[in-house]
Amino acid sequence: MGEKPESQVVVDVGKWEWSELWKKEDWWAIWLGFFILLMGVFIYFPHAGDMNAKLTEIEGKYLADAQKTDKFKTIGWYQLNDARAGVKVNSVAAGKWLKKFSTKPHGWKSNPLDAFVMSQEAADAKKASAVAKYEKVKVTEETTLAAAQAAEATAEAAGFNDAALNEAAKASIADWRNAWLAASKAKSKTKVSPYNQVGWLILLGIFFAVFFGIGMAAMGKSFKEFVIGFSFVYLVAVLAYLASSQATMKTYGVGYAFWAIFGGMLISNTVGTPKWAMPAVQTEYYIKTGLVLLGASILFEKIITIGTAGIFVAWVVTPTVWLVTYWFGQKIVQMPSKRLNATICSDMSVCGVSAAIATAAACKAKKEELTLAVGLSLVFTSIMMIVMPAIIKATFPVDKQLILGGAWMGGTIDATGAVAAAGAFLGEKALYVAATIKMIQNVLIGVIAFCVALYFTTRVEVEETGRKVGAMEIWYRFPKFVLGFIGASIIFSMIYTSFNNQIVGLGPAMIDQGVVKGMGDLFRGWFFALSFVSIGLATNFRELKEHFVGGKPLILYVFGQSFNLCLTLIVAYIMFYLVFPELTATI
Amino acid sequence: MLVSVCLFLYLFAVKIGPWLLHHIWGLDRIARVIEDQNIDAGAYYYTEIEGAYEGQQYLSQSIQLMAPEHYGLTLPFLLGIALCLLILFFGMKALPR
Repeated sequence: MGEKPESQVVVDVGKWEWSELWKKEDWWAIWLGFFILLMGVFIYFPHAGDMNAKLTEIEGKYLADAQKTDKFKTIGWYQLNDARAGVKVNSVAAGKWLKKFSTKPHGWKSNPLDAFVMSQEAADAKKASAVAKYEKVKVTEETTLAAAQAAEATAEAAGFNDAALNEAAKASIADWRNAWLAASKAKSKTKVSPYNQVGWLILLGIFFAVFFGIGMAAMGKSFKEFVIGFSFVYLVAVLAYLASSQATMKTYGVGYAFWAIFGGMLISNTVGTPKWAMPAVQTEYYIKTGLVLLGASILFEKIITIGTAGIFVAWVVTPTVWLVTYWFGQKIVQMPSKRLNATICSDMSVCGVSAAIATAAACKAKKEELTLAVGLSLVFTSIMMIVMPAIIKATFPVDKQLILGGAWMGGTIDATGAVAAAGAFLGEKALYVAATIKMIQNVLIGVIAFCVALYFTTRVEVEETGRKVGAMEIWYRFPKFVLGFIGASIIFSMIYTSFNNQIVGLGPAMIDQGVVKGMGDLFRGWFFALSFVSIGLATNFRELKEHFVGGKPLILYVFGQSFNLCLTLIVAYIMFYLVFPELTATI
Repeated sequence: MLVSVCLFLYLFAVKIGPWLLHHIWGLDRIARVIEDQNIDAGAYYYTEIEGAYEGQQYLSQSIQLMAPEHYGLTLPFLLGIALCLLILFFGMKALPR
């Protein structure tokens, strides 16, 4: 057979058209994502003055006490910290309504109906039990606080110059903090009220159907067919949340992503995905909209939280591990797909599911590749959550368990929930260090996703097509939703910093607790759940198996995670104990 | 098959899973911490965890008040960011074709 003449070869030449702005999914993801974020701005920003006033009052009340000495953290220091953390803009009426409107199924143990309905009697019984527990720990908290106050007063009387008295006060305050932590957690469980979530879930489903349906109609698809199909996809997403809210599953850390993919695949590989549901099986549409919302929570100021030591553990180790693992995957393991390689690298080195989603969308990975990466992450996260704190307890010197152990777990365990659980197992400080290191790593998602998108557009796709591309072609091929993702991050980072420049704590109160937690986060989880359900509904086991041939993804993950564990531990030790010991001492 | 898988999952959730909690070393203690502190161990992102928010407040206030010279955009901190970007830039350029 002769070669095809040049004119018969199909060449995908990029051409920018303004109509893409309302005809392409990437742009619709940006419009829809920003619509939600702007709604958050309109709802919460008018309350900035009130939040500022509250924080000013708190500073006036506690700051002088907090700065009494630099020998140890005084009771006033902790009270300032607790009071600042309690200022949350989403406690306004609109915020409470939005939370109710978007609430996922509640927790349950053996009766799934408990996830949707709780009667007044059941709520009263639950509340009575929680109040009894709280009353018990509250007494301990009050007793330890009195002892701490006495010890601090004694140390103060000596001008904070008596080392023994300072140590005694420090130990006494630590006892009070442990009791305070137990009391505050017990108190949060006393807030029980009856609920009937069924009506709200139906209302939310209708809202989502219209919300996404408008974009589908603008892109030339049938609104009616989408809405009909969406009812099925949404139902499976609700069931995924129902499964993930079961007590045992919560303990094992099996979240909604697993259940959404699993539920979708179970349906598609047994009874089959109904044809009428297919118009709403729109993995990328949901995922990209969710990612634009995720962008708003990537706030650059957060990376300064734990100083230089944190930035080295989270921002120097992570790209190193990513690049070395990717190289290992291409050269040694010879991964059949560069996209699968990149997705696993991000998921293992950055922060599990969220990073896998962002990278897969940025490099246009196949749905099976994302499924595989997420599956690997979930399995290893569950194992590491149990094994790592046990290793730290058994092998680390006692004085290094909390900070070094926390930093090690925060830098290596994929999912934040598992990081928090493992950190809390060691102690409050370990939880704080671990969760903060993970948070700084989370911020890196934006940088990594942008680099991956650029790398695949300018290098990998050029190699695949065998043609050199110009600037216009790069623009055409570049996944546009990444612009929305990065744009949201930059805009809200700037607003966050400008709030914090007014008064310490205003940024977290307005952005973290407002636009992010009080708006974006309420919907982001649902959008990711819808996308994972779509992945499951469109995947068959055979296709998935093909990507696992030879166990290469597993080898890649194990190599990368082993390297990550070694490098993170070494860098954390060097930074926290050799280079910045004085910074570590303040924690 | 659909029904049998669902049935197995329900059994795992209410019987096998809780039983295993007491028979896998260390798991029961982790489970107690998760229950006591109301942690969502299945959360994927830092904004879904209250500990991340509390930790951020605690650590930034610790450094701001007790070691302010280490807080903010210090030279070593900027060096860390520059190093990260350099690693990514040269690393991506050097990746195998």
